[in-house]
Amino acid sequence: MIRRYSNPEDWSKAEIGRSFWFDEDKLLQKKFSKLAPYTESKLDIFPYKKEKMQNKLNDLRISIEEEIGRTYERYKDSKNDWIENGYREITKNIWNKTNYFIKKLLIPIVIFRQEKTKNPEILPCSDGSIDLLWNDGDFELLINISQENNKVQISGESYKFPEEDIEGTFNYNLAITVCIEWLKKIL
Amino acid sequence: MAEEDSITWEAEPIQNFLDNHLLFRAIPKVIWEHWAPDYQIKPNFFITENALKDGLSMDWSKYSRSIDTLNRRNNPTLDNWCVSQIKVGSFKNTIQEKNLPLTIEHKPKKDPPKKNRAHTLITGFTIRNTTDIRRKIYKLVEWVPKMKPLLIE
Repeated sequence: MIRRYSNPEDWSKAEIGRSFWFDEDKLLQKKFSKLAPYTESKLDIFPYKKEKMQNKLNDLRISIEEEIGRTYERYKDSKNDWIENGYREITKNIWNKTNYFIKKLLIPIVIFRQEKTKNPEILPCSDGSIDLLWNDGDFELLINISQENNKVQISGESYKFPEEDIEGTFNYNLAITVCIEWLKKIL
Repeated sequence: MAEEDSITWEAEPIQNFLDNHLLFRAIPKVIWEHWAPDYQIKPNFFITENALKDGLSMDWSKYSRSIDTLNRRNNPTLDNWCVSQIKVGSFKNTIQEKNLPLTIEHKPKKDPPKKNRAHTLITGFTIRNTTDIRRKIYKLVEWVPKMKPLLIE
């Protein structure tokens, strides 16, 4: 079940740490347990920013829901043309995975980027996958969420630390961890 | 004037692609409508099933104008399709600088009804490298002036 936080006032520090994972996802839970202390200490260092971060996170979550909804509607409206061009259908599963992936990455990005955080661009692809593109001036990250064997391809570049470029194909759950670890390193 | 016999069209070597030449590709509305509000070309421009199998189809400016690229599509209006271009010089420099496994391959289509002397492939995409390559080269792609989404104007 997806945990939802509709009221930012209810979020405690611990809840923000815990919300990195979802109940059903044991592998991810194990991976993120390493990250939780780091994020908590970050919040302790900047307690005065906590409320701002919570508000920012809430705003981003709402805006990403809206953006995914708009993109999905546009895709649905032109689905006949999409199929006519010989493009592969983007399944509901891929839309859901995209939604889930973005929300998981938003928390660390808000913590590390704070006010500078931007939402990714959501780009439907002709092979039935979806691209997520983050480009916020300090880094560029392209994530391709594909229908093939639960795979996610990542390519990222840090403008500050060019030696920390990232590239690879991972299974879906691991890809989230890899992105977060990479963001920790470069931000 | 008699039309040239397509049987005589030879594939030309990469050296014939000069730095000031262009490679054109039409992009359908179903892709670019997601690039609002500025309609800058994004990495999803590159994904097609064929790019992985044979290569990404383009038209070489030595034998084609951008309008020809548009006219080869079904319903060839700027409401449905817009045309992008890549400068050959920038492309070659980028693949060299970034050490990308891409190359340009002239592959004229000789058989009617789709014969096309300009037909060229960008090859080297694999299932493992597409995302990385797409991110590294998408900024090279630009709209052909006057053939970009009408919504921009």
